[in-house]
Amino acid sequence: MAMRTRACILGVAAAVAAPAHDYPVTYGVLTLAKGRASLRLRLALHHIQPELEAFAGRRLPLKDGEIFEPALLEAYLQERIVLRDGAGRVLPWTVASQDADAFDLVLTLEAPLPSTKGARLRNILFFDRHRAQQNLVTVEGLGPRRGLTFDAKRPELPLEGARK
Amino acid sequence: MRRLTLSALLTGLALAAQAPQGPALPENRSKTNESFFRKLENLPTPNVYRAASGAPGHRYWQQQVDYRIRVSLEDATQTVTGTEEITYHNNAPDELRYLWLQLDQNLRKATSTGANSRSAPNLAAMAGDGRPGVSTWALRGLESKDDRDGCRIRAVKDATGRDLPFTVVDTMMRVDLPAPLKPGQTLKFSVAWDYAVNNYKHAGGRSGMEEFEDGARLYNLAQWQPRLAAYTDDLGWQHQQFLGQGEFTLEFGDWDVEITVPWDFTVLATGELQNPQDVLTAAQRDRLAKARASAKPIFIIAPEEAGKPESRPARSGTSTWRFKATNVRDFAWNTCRRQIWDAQGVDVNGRTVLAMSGYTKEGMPLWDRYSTAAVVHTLKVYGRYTFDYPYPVAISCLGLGGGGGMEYPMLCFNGPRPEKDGTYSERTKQGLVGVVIHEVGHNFFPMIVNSDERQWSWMDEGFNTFLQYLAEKEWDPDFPTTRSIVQGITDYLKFPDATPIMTQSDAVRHFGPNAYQKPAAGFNMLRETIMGRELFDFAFKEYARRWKFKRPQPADFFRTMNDASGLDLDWFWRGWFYMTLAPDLAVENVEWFRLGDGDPAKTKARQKEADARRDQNISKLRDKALIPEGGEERRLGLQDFYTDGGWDRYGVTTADRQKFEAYQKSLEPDAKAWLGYSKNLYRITFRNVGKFPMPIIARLEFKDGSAEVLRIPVQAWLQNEERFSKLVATEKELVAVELDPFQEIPDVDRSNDSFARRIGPAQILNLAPPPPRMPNPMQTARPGKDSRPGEASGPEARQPGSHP
Repeated sequence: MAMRTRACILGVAAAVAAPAHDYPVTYGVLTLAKGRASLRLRLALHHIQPELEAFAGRRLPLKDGEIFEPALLEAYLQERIVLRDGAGRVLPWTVASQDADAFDLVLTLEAPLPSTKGARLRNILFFDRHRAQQNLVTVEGLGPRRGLTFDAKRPELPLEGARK
Repeated sequence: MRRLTLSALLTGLALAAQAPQGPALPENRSKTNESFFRKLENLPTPNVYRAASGAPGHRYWQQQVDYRIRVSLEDATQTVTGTEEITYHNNAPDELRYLWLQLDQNLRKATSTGANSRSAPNLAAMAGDGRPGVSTWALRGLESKDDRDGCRIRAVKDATGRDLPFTVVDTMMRVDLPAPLKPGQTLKFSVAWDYAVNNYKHAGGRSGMEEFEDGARLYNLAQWQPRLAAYTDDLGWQHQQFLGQGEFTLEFGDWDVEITVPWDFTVLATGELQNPQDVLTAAQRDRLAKARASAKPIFIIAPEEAGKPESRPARSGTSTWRFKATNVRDFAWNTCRRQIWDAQGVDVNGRTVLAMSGYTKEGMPLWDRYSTAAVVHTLKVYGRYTFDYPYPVAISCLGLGGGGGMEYPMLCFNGPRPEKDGTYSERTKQGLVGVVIHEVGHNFFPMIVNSDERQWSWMDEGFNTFLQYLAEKEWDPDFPTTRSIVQGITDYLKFPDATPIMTQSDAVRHFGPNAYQKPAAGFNMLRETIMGRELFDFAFKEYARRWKFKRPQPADFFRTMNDASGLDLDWFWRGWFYMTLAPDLAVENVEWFRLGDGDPAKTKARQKEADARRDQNISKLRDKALIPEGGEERRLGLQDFYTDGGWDRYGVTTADRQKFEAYQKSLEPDAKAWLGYSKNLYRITFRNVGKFPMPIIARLEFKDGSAEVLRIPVQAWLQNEERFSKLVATEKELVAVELDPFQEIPDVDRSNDSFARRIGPAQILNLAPPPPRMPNPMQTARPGKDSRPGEASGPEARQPGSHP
């Protein structure tokens, strides 16, 4: 419930100018293969770590070579990055891998995706933190490479056809 | 012929290393010069106003606009009302029949181009149960409840008081002149106006008002009066409408501004306060004087004094604060009835600048500790890379709503603030320091180096983000800054929908990476790798010096960097600024050579080894077990000279030795010297997969564990943009080549950067967790059963419903 409350404050920015100099971005690559989708995300550690700590309600100090608890990451991400099939069913992600260096957390999420027809991706990561947040996802496989730009106005986009 | 053999071998190898391989240039290139290294044809032709060197031309000109303003703020209605006398100096060689002014507040009209041209949000993605829903903040925007009249023009008059006809075109206003304003002439006219200040909570924006819980209002006032649009040698009137994203293009001038506010308000503004005796107490004036000599911030109005009547010289009515600012392009002010104010002096090459901060208790305890300190740091670091900060004050004010920041001459607004309980996260602290550096840094770009923000956001945001990165590193070497890190931009370079940096500001879709991050990473790459720190710093400083208090265009920057560094960087400007290419170099092949000396014993031994290797094929290996040694020939006893063991095909014959001796005698002394040459020769071939030439930096790793770094300039790709081969002669045995070992190039594919191929560091592969259980409200309703995965269950755990 708390998650939903947070998500509700995402800004639509319909008729107002965004504040200046606050343009955070995340990047991801969604690789589509027959029956599966794999999403590789690069997130700045100084962005994701406080968010996870706030979500968990406790400190999550990371030492070299350590990773976040996969269950915690999945719980945090499940309502922020949502893959749905053509019937609107949520296809659950699992954290396949994670790797942290000094600056970034690189995550690979995997989900079954029986068909891309009508499938949609929602990516509202950090939207409740920054009104001007943009999440850029490059889609590869099962068609030409294309870019999806998720922002407050377009939190969810179809996988087939870019720039919707 | 023999004489040529050895000496020519090395030369030949070297030449072969440089020679084009295969069809490097498509056939259609034979008709036009499509070399990546051709001069940049996108630049305008130099002229008397803008020289080919990138410096202002010998007849460079720019307009000057002086303002004398009287403005008042009515707090009850949040209305700004003012009159301004404008003195317009026409320094252009052109006659002007009308003037254009900017009315930025008109953006807030529901009918404005900016408001009307914004695409609707995808509400379907927010609708329905189980979806995040839509915020009330967004609904206010959708319903345009903040629709305002914009800037209400009450009068436009000439110096004699006669009305001047004017026409408002969205966020611009054309004032028709009774007679053409000739070159060199000056025109005085006045404008009276008012506008209702927007509530930031409802409408966002770069300026506006925030109402605190106790009813006190904080005003960040900017773009608050009609200002002259720029008239330039290359664009004429710059009157592209204000749509919200592309910022401002303005003229320099002198400002004299009287600001009338309720008696209990304090005002911080662009410029120097002219009447401290009227608006400050004696104690405050004394503190301000002491602050000039102080190495630490001193409270002019302390937290415990803010909002108290005794902190003000008047106790009723209004007070008028007068500020003067010389040679500024804009003017902003900040006011609140319970403002805290601190200040300290900064020595700028013998001149004292006052670094100040204005904030409310909502900024405590963070602001009193870090804001002014960050202002001081910025002036010092930016000054080192550009020029001495020329203005008398530099002020950081608490921004509206707690996020972002916005810059104006001498004064900026910065958002980050602590939690209500007085604590703050490390990220908030770093956010404040970073944004203060950034916004104060904007004084240098574009407030003084006056680039056209409406056209080219990168010319201020890119430069400023780059310098911010340098300043943040000096503030704290571990500052979590990534926006200028070269590797940080690779994801954007790979993104299929990216647009070139050279895109008009309002058309840039990914503003952060495009206007801030990519140019900043490019400058970092120029500084660290392509030009080197010394050349870059000199050229960059020269650009800043040349265009200080002038109006540069992109070509002026590109040309100055070429001109002052002695490097032709057009290839870089083309690939990085005008295109969306993604650099990707690869190590394609490594070939190993050694010089032979002609000794037949060695030659035959090598032949024997080669034949033995060739015989290690699957058929031969399997036949060995099936066919007896010598085969049928031996079984039948048919051996002869060649097979009875008396002849060694790899043996050295007398004829071989004689031939070798004759060969040695025939050599000239310089060629003989090469016979002892024992170095390994490696021909390393690099490939420009990304079609964006880059310098080649490669680490060569040797069998003995040592390593060397090879640095090859970008000119390696001049004749063949696809492949380049380098010959390396070494006593050591090469075992691996790794491209870009110090992460200097934003290479978007690291998998082809090594030879031999390397397996990357292990990624953690976790066992997939069991599928999520179905929601069970009955179970979660039981005491102690409401934890979610990853939540702590101890006393520090968050209480349900109390989300941070």
